[in-house]
Formats: sequence, structure tokens, C-alpha cells
Amino acid sequence: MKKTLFSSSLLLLLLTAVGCYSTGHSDPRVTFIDRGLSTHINITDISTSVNSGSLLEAQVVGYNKSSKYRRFQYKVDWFDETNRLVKSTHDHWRDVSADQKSEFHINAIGPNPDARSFKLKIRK
Amino acid sequence: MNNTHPQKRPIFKGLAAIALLVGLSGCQTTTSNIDMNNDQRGAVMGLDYRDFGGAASAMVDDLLASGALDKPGGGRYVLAISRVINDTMQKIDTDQLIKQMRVALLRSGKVVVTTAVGANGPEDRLAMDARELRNSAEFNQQTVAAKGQMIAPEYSLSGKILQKNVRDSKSKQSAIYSFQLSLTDINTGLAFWEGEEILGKSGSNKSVAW
Repeated sequence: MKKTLFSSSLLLLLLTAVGCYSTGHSDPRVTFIDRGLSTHINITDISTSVNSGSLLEAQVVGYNKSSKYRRFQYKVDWFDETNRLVKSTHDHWRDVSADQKSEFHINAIGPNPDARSFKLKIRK
Repeated sequence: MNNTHPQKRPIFKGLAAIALLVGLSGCQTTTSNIDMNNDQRGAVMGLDYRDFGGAASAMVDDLLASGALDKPGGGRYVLAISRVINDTMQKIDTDQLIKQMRVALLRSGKVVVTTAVGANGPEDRLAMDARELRNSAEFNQQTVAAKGQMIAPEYSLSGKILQKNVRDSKSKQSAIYSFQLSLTDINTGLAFWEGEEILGKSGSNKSVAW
């Protein structure tokens, strides 16, 4: 009986731990195009600020929880205060890499002062 | 038995012609438009538009984030494009890099680029040539550009694109490209921003990197 209770508790603890681990930080501003990637990459923090030139700067912090160095791509779309896409000449996919079991950072700056919000897409 | 041959011959010829036609059409490469927003074709040893786009984006972001273009009290700086040296083995029009940066910087609201002054003479000679109309009786002189209206540049953008090839093994080589740019305050001659983007490519020795 004791053994069963111990096993059940251990299983529950394990499931809880795995659940917390894989959920991570979810933010509507970040979309994983490849779902498989989101099992390895967590977004842990997003911060924004307006710099001295009135441009919105964003920093996205993520964590590569796999035991493999990973290289993937991201793209940032910028939106004005009415949620219209702000045209940018450099809105293509960019490379980013993350060491195994390590944090990584994505820094982005709005193309002009009209950019008030952003959406980040991540793919393999 | 021999009578059957003349009848079979036309059928055989027809089948051979169809087979040849199908074979030839199979070899034909069809033309298609490239999705410029998601071009996932393989990399090439030389520099292609994706490399210039990536380097230009990274440098514009770095320049905007540096604060060098934040004019005290607001407004825009006037920027002149100086020499951008192509020190690679490829025939490159450096505008592939600079034009993208110019467009992005103009849209940022931080900079306006002069086409009347440049390291190799004005990009647009007409701004100066149009001033010769001052002596023409054929033109309404009120519509001719007045003296003292042109705005002198405050900053200049100069740079270099470098290439270094390394033979890794009998069958492999690598090419390292470096995009280097400097933003100089024309008044003081001091560079207030400098950026470098490095790009590495690895491929077969048979690939041509020039």
C-alpha cells in the first residue's frame, strides 16, 4: 500500500513538473509556426521600451530546453496604434541560435515612430 | 508473316514520337516566380540578394538603436552617401546594400539623403544642372531654383564589403564576407556609428565564389 502511494505521489510530482516545464511563458505576441519547435523553445520574458528617438524597442528572452544547439528563424511584424501593419523594408526572416539548455535573446526595433506594437513569429 | 511489318511500322513510329515528346517535355525546366518573402532556395557561395537584405536589416537596426540619428530637438539629419568599396572577388553593385539601408532610414523619419552631393559626384546631376536655367529667358525665373536653397549634408555613410576565401579540405571551401559601414559627422570628421556584419558560407570547391 505504502509502495503504491509512494509511486502515485512520484508520478503526480513528475507530471506536474513536466506540465510546468513544457507550458512556459505564453504570450499572444509570439507565434510558433512550427509546433514541434515550441516543445524545445520557451519564451520566458518580453519587454518593450521607447528609445530616445521615439522608436519602440522589444527584447524577447527565450530558453532552449533541449540538449541540442538549435538554429531557427524569426520575423517581426510591426503595427501602428490602429493595429495596421507598418510597412518595413526589412521584414524578412532572420536567423537566431540558442545553445543547449541556455537562454537566447531576440532584439528588435520598430521601423519608425508609428510602430506601437509587434508580433513575433518563430519557425525552424 | 512479312505482311504484318508494314502495318506495325507507322504505329511504332508514332509511339516513338510520343515517347520523344514526353521525354523532352519532362526535361524542360518550368519558370516560376520566387516568393521573395519566403525564399528557401539553397544558399550560394557568392552573395545574393538575401545576404544583402540580411546585412542591411541588421545594420539599420543597429544604427537606429545606437541613437546616433536622434537629432536633439527632433528633425532629420541630412545624409550623403560616400564610397562603399567592393573588396570582394565578385562584381557587386554596392547599392544592393546601401539602397535598402537608405529606404529604411528614410522611412524611419530620422534621415533624409541628399542626392546632390556624393563621393563620386552627385547621384542626381539635374539638381545642379537645373540651376543653369537661371540665365535662360525661356523659363519663368520664379520657378527656377533659387540660390542658397540646397542643404549640405551633416553625415556621410561610407564602407567596404570584404571577402576572404579559405580552402578547408580537398573538396570543401569557405567564404567569409564582411560588411563594414561608418557614419561620419562631416563637421568634425568623427565616426559616431560603426557597424560590421559577418557572413560565412561553406560549400564545394567546385562552387564559384566570384
